[in-house]
Amino acid sequence: MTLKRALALTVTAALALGGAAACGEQDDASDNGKKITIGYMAWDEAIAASHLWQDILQDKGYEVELKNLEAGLVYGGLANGDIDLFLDSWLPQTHASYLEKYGDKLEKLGVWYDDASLSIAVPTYVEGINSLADLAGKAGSFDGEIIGIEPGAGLTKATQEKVIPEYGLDGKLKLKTSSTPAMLAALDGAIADKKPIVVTLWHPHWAYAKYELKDLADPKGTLGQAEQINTLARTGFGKDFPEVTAMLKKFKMDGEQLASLEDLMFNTHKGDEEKAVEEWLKANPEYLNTLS
Amino acid sequence: MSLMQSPLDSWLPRLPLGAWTESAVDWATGTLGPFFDGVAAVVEALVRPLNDLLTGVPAVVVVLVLAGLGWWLRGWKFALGTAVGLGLVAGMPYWEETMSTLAQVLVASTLALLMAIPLGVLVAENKRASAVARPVLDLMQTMPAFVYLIPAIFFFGIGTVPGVLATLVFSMPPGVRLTELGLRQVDKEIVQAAESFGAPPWMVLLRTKLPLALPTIMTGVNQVIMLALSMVVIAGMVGAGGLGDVIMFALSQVEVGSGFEGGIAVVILAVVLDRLTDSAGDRFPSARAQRLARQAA
Repeated sequence: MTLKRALALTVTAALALGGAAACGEQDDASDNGKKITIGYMAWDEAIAASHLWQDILQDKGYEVELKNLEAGLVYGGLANGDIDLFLDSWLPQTHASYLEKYGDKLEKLGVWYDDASLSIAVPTYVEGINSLADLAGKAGSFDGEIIGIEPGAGLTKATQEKVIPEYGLDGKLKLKTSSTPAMLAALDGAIADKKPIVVTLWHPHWAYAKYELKDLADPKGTLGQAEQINTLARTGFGKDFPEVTAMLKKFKMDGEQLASLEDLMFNTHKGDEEKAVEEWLKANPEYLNTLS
Repeated sequence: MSLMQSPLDSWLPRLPLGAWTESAVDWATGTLGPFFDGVAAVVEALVRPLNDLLTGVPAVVVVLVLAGLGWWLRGWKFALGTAVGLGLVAGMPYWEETMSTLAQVLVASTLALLMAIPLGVLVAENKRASAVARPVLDLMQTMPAFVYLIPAIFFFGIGTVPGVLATLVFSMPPGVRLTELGLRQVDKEIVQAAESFGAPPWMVLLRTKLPLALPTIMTGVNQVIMLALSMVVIAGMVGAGGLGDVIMFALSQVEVGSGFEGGIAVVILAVVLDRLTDSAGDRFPSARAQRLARQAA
């Protein structure tokens, strides 16, 4: 008993001392006011861009924290200052409702990707279907299902409220919502078996690099026009972080750069975002110069 | 959403319950702002140092301390199990997240118990308070856990604070209920004996009822901690960090591997905390006396 007590006490004392030392270090790190919180929702290009910038800013000596939240919470966090930066704002359509609500409490730092668009795609081996208008007659070959993504996504809403009614798919094709990875898994499986499948998708996406896909034509414009991906910051960010703001305003990526970064992150180095970013920066050595 | 038409429609007024709740929350955000800021500051002041401590020291120290506690409270077998289990967690990439989850659980459940046990005493001693508390506790326990996050975001933004406070509210009820149950189950004859010696009511409560009710109260403590652990993971949705964050990310990316690793870390943490609090309850003299009495009978 006494031996155990003594042991427990000794170890606890060691823990307390170590803790005190750790606290001392902590204070030094957080005193210099160089902490930046990047909010993101788990969309591929958001994950890719947020980790890229975490790497870039950490090399500049900033402490960067990433927070994974639903889109609504990211905008709310920007509006009340809990979040400093958000790199995946889809405008003018997908995130329009958030901009309406919080637009006056944000700083726009510019567009970094300008050809973002929603799509409904099939593998190229699916024949006789090239337009959304062709789907109604072929509903049977897809088991009556369009494979969708998250229920709350703008893409889901557009498919449900515009595509299905306007192309007369009501009662023929149902939109099956689940999650982006589940949709990709279904796509991957169907392609492996050469089965017909129709999915809701978007550009930029690494799936277009990995598989042979074709977007179905949208003569009625139900999926909207191409959009831009914007960088947003909380009010006052530009004043607090002029150097970072200047870099972010120069931030641009083309389709190939983004697709290769996403491919490294979600396929080659799945689960190790840091390594993917480092490898991508090695492969694109001139990229950092474009930001300064 | 299409509403079903029914002949009762004209009879049943549509209650704007949602609108009322919204205006109540709006009012609270405006009027009680300073109060919420104070609460947030307190929670932050509790969680941050504990989090820094647990994540700051080497994993091996934390493992040894918890194993030492387990040895002291339960014996060497459990200590070994703790060391192996936590060693496994330390070997996975989520040690830091596990420790910040632990910090959040400890703060949330301690605060919950500081409110729950006195409340439990109150409702055990007072019939009217008990009648009022029961439906409120029912509501607290059956309200889907996610719903607590919504007002928490309004009052406290995103991060650790709303997570800890939603956890506190969610995990409180069993603490109140089991404290009440324990006190009500104390043998009437023993209480009468204490009273006949002329002990004043508070003395009876402190020296007779509470010690005899302790094992049940400790079950309540244990339940509070378990519920807190399940809620802290859900709080990952509002940016509370820790294992909830790992699991949320794994869910949104459908990464089976990291989801399982995060889940296992939660399980190990739960088992260790469960057994530790469970055996702490058995160490009180009153519990030992009751055990001896049972053996003698």
